[in-house]
Amino acid sequence: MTDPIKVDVWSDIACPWCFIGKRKFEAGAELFGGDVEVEYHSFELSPDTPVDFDGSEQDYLLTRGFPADRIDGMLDRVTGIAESVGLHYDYDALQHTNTVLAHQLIHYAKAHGRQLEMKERLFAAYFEQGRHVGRVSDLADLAAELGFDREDVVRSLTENEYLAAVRADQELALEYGIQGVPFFVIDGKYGVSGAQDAATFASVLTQVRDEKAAVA
Amino acid sequence: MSEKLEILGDPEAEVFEGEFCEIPPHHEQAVMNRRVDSDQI
Repeated sequence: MTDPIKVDVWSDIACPWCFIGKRKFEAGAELFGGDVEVEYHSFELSPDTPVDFDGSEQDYLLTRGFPADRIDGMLDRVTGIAESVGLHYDYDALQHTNTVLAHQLIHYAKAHGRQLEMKERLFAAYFEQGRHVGRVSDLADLAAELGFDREDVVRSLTENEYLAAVRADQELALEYGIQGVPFFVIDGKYGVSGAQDAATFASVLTQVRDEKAAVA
Repeated sequence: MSEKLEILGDPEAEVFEGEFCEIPPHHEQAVMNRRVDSDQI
């Protein structure tokens, strides 16, 4: 019997591959079958995005230099891959925004022992339900729906209670040299980049477990 | 990538470019999606 395998995941709410990667990792962990302890860490893909971005996802991608004639095809492809793992992305409804407050809310939830639940709720709110995840009031509504104390969430986000924790995650990402997300750090020693197949995650977890068992 | 980490996973997965988002070298904070096959995403 070995201790759970610790998996630290850097991701952003606004990253389509991060939600897909979450599903693929979860499937991989199920295939693996052993104990896995997952902790999410903050990574802002686009920290300069305004909270109330005025435009569609297509407009946003144009501002990032994506070729206009290929954007719809690209989004269709992402949407199709999301569907393949059971996610229903709705880019027509999606409200592009800054995610630093959402990251703070994830830290708030972690402090209350419910990080994974909040991460999932925010991903679904953003990609599937067209909910705004950049404003204090909207985030507090989402938290209240999960049973959190809305007033205390408003207080926490207004005070930027967990901004330092977000920045600490980002510093750690820099130390690891993480440039893209999702990025999985397994057992503090191994890195897995991207939304890889479930079987790949399962294989990596098995390898790490076997190595830990060999030295136990 | 930091020497702190040993990169694991299917080496073929690395060519699943676009299965993750990436910070472009020309802008350290603006992050774009990496290539998806022949698509830029």
